[in-house]
Amino acid sequence: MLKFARWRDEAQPILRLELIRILAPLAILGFLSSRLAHVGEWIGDTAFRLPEFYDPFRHPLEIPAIPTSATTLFAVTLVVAALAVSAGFHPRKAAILLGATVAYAALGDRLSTFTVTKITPGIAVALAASPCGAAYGVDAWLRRKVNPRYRSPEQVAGGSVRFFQVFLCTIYCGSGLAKARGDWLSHPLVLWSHLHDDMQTRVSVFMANTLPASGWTLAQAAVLIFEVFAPVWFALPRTRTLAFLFALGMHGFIGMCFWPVRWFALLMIGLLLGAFLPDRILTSLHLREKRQINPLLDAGP
Amino acid sequence: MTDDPPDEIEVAYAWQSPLLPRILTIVAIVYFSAVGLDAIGSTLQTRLLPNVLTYFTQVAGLFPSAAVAVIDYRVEGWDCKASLWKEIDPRVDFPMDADSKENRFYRAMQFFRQRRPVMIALEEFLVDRHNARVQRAAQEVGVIGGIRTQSIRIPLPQPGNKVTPYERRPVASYPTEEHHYWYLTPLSRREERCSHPFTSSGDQG
Repeated sequence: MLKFARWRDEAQPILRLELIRILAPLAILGFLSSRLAHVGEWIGDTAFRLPEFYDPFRHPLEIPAIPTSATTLFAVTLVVAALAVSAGFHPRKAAILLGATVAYAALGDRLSTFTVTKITPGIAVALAASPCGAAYGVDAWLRRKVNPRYRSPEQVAGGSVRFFQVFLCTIYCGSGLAKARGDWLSHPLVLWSHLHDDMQTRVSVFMANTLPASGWTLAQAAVLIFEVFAPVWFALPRTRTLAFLFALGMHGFIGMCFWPVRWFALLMIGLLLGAFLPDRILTSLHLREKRQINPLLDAGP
Repeated sequence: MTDDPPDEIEVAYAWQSPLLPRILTIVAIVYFSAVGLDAIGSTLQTRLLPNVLTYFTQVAGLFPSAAVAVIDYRVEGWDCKASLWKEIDPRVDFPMDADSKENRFYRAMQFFRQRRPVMIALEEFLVDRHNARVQRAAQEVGVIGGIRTQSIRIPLPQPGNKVTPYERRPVASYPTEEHHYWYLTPLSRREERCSHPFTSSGDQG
């Protein structure tokens, strides 16, 4: 128990948390952009709404739609909250607002609810419960303006970063186990079978016509092995960087081959960068930022 | 006392109290467990937690099965004048993500095509919207008295064969065996609507 608490509380570079705080809301906003463009259909009361019925899995709560006249206000609130989190302007309060608005929409309109909508409230709560915004944002900049000697913290209490690290491992491992329970161990062309509908892109058509069937089977096996054992790959220092690169490549590939999924891919990439970006890259990013704030650092001792 | 922030903080903490991180750790463990249990098909979490919460943990089951066909959902309207089923484009009334599977009409069909109350609500919505447009200006399909929903199941190409880009074709261009009908407005309701075409479905009770 003590060992776990030590691991959880071990201070982490604050840039990890701030990267997630900056990137995740932007990917979420990108995903929601098509909904925000038709906000009346998304959450308004004049669009098609499911009739009242109870389905514990797909429709667990009946939530009234918003009057059309108020949908724009809802959209503005959501966008401002997401941008405030990303900019580091009162990000913890803004994260609560972002989580609440997206949770409302996720429960209110089952038809436009996807993984991104369902994980956003969790991400928002995690950010609100963290000291995000202490560096690399508007709040930190304002603090420096008030007190020029103020230096932002370089580290953060580990819990919030650990949350995102375990979150990614849980999603990957859970997804891998769901695939193993599904067709991924019995059907050699699961990946290939999904390349043919309206989610496809020019890249996926090109890949489908270029990569032989055995290549798709190999890719499928690699994804399955990576996902099922993700907690191991990310826990071991020797495999962590490779797992990080594999995950980046996997999400990049998914985003390019399944166009509607690109925002989910970008969200996962944002979380990965914050959670598992190798320390040496993180340090060089941090030093570059420090030099911009204090050019005297370049002068050396 | 001064409100000035201190010059330097080495480690940022969210909470002063040591109790809150412990509580949040427990909340996080419950959340991760629920996500994991959902992914492996367990229902334990649904018995222990409110459904409103477990709804937000259904996030890890991504693409578990192979696609057996390319599936597209379509709808036809009963043209009162011609007494024929004619395809209508639901994307006009479901403009969000109009050209992808993330479209709300597609999702309504994907999840609830066998749930009659949802199909009746969809029927009333589409008929009202379509006929309101007809009332405003002439449309390709005139007044409709009901709908017929279907899925088009296009076979996948054989592995190794050329993959062609997906294109949305008129429903009538697909072979009969690729059509699967799911819901049809009863004849009596179609006749009723066709005799009072500009009365809202809601007004008909």
